Amino acid sequence: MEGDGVWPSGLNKMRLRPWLEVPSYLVAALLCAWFSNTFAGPTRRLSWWPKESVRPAASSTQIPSAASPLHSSAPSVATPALPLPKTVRPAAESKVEAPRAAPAPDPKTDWWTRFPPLVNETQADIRGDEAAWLHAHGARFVDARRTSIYTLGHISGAKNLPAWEDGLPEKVDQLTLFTADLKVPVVVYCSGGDCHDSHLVAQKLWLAGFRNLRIYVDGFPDWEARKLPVTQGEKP
Amino acid sequence: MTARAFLMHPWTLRSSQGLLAVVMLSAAIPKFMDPPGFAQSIFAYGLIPLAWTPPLALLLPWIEGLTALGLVVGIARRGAATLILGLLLMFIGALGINLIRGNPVDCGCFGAAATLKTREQRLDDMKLALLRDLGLALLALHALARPKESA
Repeated sequence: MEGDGVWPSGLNKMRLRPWLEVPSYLVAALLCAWFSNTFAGPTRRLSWWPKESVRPAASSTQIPSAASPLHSSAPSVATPALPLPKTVRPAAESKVEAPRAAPAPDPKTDWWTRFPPLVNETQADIRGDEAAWLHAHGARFVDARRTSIYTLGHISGAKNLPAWEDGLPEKVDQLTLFTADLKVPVVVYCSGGDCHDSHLVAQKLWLAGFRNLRIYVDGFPDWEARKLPVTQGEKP
Repeated sequence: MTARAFLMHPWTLRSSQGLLAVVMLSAAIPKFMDPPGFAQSIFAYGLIPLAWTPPLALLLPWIEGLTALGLVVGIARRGAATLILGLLLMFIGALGINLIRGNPVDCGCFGAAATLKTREQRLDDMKLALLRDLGLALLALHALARPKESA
């Protein structure tokens, strides 16, 4: 037999000591992985070790309670609010049309009456009706899916914080900076079903100081099935 | 020609190594094109801690790809076959444990799945992937069993 490999070539004359073969492959794989990851684009780069947010958890402001909800002022969402979503679904198709901006606070419909900040848990699950209510009342939404999937369609106004792509801590910091009160409800979602990404992102947000994290467990497929506002593209 | 002679015939060995290399390379390419997607798939198995997921997602595709090339070209063939066998046994273990648990995961063997599947479809896919990996492990054993004189 003239060659050692499938294709006989001069390369097969190269010999390694048997005990060196496996470590050589592992070192070569490590170098290739490092090189390819270093020069990869932002959406396909992966941080070697999960990084935490560099911004310390913000000190808590007044803790609202159901007995004395903070009705006196407008919900303290970020002042530089997310740009108004461009809804791609025709209005005629939408069964539930969510308002474009947060309405004036109503004692009966205030966030904290229905969704008080969580005390003994980091996150709580919600279903489609609750997510639709929160969306209609201007709560912040976070999409934990991949950027490529987010651009195909996401909940209008949702900010993209992909769980696995590099740069998540920086995006969490940015969201923290633009949120005046970390006790406002933040709804995190991904693809529903057995998708874990929303829980991972919620964990990062909790570490950054957010204290009212709601996981929309049925995720984007359920939102689409309800024909609620959807936006395409990179903008929220 | 006896079965042993057929199995050890140079062309049989080359064919089985070639098939193994093609499958491993076609599994590796989508993964090293999209490490975050592969990390997502690995984490869904629920077998390793979150901190270990990114390094594994970055390394595994390159191990698959380089060992497949090693088999084709003939560099450190035994090392390549050993690593491929190790990887396949790891995949078989991961799929088997999740099948026993009844946890339907997207295999992630050839990159992240493009379509959403039902629980039953995923469990069926996992069984097929398990059988495929067992077949590939036999091919890797065949590559390792190659007689010394042709190595």
